[in-house]
Amino acid sequence: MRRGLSFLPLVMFLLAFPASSRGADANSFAGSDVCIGCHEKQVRLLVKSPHWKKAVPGAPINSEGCESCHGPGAAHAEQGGGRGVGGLITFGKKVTADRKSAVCLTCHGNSTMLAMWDSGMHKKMDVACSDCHTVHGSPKAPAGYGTTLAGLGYSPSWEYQVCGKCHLDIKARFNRRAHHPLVEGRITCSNCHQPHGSMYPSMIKAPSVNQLCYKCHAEKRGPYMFEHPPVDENCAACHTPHGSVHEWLLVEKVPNLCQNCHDASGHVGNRYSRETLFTGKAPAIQSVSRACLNCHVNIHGSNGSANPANGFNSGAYFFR
Amino acid sequence: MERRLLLACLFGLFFASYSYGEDNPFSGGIFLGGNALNLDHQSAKFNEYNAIAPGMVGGGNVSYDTGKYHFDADAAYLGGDDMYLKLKGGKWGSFKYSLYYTEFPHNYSFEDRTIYTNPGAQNLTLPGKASATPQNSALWPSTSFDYGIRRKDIGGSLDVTAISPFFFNVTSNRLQREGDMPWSGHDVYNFGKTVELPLPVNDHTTNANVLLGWKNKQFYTALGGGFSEYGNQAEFTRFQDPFTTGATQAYGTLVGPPDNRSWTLNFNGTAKLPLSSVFALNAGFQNNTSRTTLLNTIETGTAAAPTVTTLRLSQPTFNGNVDYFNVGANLTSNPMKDLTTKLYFKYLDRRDNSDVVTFTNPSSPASGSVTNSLFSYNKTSVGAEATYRFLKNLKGIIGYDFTDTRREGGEDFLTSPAPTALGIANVPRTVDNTFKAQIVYNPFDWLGTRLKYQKLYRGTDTELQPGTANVLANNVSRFDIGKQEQDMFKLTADISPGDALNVSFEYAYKLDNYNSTVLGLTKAQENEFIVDGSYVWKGMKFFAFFDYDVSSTEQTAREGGGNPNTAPTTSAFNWNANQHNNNYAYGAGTNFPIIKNKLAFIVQYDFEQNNGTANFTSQSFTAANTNLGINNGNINIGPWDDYTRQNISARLVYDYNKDFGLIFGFLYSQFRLNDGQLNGYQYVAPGPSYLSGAYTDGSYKANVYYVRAVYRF
Repeated sequence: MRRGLSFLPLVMFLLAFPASSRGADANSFAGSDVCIGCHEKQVRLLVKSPHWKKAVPGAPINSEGCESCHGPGAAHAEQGGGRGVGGLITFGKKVTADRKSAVCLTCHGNSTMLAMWDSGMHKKMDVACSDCHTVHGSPKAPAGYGTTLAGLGYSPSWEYQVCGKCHLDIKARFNRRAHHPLVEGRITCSNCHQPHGSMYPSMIKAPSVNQLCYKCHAEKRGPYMFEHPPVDENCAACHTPHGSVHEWLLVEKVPNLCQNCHDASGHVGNRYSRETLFTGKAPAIQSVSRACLNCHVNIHGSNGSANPANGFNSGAYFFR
Repeated sequence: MERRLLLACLFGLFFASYSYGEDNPFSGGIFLGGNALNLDHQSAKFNEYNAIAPGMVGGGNVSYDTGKYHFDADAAYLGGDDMYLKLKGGKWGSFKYSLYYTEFPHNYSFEDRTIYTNPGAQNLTLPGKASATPQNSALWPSTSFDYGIRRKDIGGSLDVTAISPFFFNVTSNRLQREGDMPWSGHDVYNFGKTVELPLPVNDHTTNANVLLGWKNKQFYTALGGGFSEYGNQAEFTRFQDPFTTGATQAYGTLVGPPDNRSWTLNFNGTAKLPLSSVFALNAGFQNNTSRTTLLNTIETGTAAAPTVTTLRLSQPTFNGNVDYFNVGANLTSNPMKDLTTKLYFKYLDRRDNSDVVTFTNPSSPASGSVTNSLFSYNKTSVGAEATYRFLKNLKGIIGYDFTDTRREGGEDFLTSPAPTALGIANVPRTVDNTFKAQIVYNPFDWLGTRLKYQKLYRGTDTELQPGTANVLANNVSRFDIGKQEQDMFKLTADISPGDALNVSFEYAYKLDNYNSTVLGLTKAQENEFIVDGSYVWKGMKFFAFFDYDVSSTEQTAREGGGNPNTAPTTSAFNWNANQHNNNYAYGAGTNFPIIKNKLAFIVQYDFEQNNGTANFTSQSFTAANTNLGINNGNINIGPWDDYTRQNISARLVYDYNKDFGLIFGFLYSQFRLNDGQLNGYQYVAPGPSYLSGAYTDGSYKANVYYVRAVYRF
């Protein structure tokens, strides 16, 4: 009886580890059950992802499991595991972006999301799929600069962390005095940009900047009777969308921003220097508070009527 | 021996069962807690996009995953001004859906004042006659109000992949906005007087988009369509004119954004070709329309005797109609080892087919007419890029882009009989030549570098306007379409010697020269240096961030009109303005476990400071300036969007077990604004004009204490 029992552990061990993993060469598969033995943490996170759902056609769980991405692992297991052992496919710094992405593209190359991957900037700049995506688990909540409201529940999406790794200047801008509400978690990078590639400038999700802005700011879409041509051509002539030290996301303070284009006799070309402020010797309404916008309020376009005899309340001058 | 054998069996059984087992399909959590808030005064800046307030808060999430179907629900702050409810789910490999409802504010300014008794109404009235409007704001109606907009958004999407090789996606949402925003009404009778007033906002936008496509390993095609409708329930706002001086009252009307619609149709396709080539094509069409019933009456007369004039309009309504058409094509190839090329073509056309409306004043026929001018443009871009991998870790990219932009119309509105002297030099065409070069070099496994340089040459076809009256306009260059040279340079280094340490450095430089500009923006420059790092050590995480950004602009303008190339006088002279901004920001923080898996402490500090100046130099000064002692020594503006912003966040996270936890948190937040345009604010401003205090409440100091109890299942 005791002799029979002595074989029991071996039997149980063999049940746990399928025959395909035993005595294998470098190109043979060990089976995911072998991987689980040492990489339990990675598997615990993996089972929650679509990669481990049998209902998903082509999911790794329906083929070679872990080895669908990491390659045949028998040699790695037989040699006792460890970094660089057994010729596994890994996704570390020593592997080129093309090589890393090729693994993902084996299955996802036909994805609708990646249709424009070749047209985009990220492929050209050697951004690999694994630089932004994690298969083993869910993206972590962002931490670091700009996340001080996270404890109260106002946290940017994980895209802020991921995109901000490379786009440091954009990360800085979203924390400036005037900014689109990304760090508060109201919008995210992919609301405006298509990171998987786009044929449009700066990989935005519209053929032009204005058409993108109108998706959320439909009140600016018009069309208006009295147009302001630079507004209709490019919102980014006056606004910087990520963040600015100036209110209203402006690239420069008014009135100087307006005076970069407008100069004429009368108040248009006047010098609005220190004496024209509230605290100056000759305060001017064109200089204080909202400056030009104190009067020319419909700056994005107007449907106000025009009186040829009096321009002071004319839509043509954006007063109404 | 037997015990060891038994343990080995159990060990094997464990692995056997784990190989095929699954987690509990049902999981989630709820949290309940409270906030205590100490705020030195009401500030819209503190809650610009949030609704942090004292009181109880709660929320939760639940997930259900059977391996075939999945469902997630997440909700928080229900009943509050920034609540959200999000549902998503689907069948793995077949379809997925999402539904959401979110609310959040965009607050501009709190505790503002107005001469009107009913802020927020579409018919703003004074407490009495306009001439009785107090020149002391303390005597204005006592009701203070807030400028801000509440956004409510409901929407959803459905994504179907089960019909492969076809795919289908539909999204839809409706955004409702309500609130007030700072607006103005200029005095009809006198130049330079205005009233700042609360413009009611009550509008909605409904969007729907659908995408249908087909794909296989070689081809991808997708046809998409979209519809968007904007409706403005507060298009016209009437306000009692505060500038009349007699017994007769007058009313002005502000005209807001019109109701509008937009239809979109677009096509995208790719085809894989030999030599690892991919041909991509896209084309789209968008039609935007609007309709407004025009006002045919307008305030006229004098302040003492205001009247209403009926204008003659060439048509009673304005129908806006703008078409966008775009087409683009890319060809990327790998013609030989290590070489990738890209050729592209893009075309975008904006065509304004709106109504042309002419206004005349029958009571003043000599004043002529005003007619709106339509603006259209098209933009053609062609370019090429080549990427060559010199070594496994060294890659070079060069590129060239040619963009030709042609404009029609866009003149100032046309007046008859005499063209307005405000006319801006017509610039129908600009041509951009852009050269780019980049190097991506990773000399070591732990070091990655990127170097980018870009040069832009912009040329223009300027059409000078005849006549001495236009000599000023002929010397003005609009910066967005003026002759320009731009240099952009960026160097980035990413250092990660191990898994624990990551540091990134970035330096960026940008210079815009408008060398041919006489009047307008002549130069813009920016230097920025950034460091961002994180370190993990024995379970503790540290991060640090530093950003230093110096930017400046230079402009030249002319006061008094005339030829800027002539000698200055006391009534006509040139002046220059140099604006500088020194902005630096830094942050540091740590997340460290006090007791592993039990008690953790998270603390971080963010700081930002901006110092701005506007330095002026004037060729001459008016007699009025001279009488006041104004000269080049005392016209510079010191605080010019100066501000400091700092946040300190600390929280203690205690996990009693895997199900229960507590969070004790503290946030200190401070914002200090010092800006010359708001310092010494006067509600009765020069004119006199009536202001309402918009944006004057920016500075604040806040302490927030909060606690959360968390239950996970």
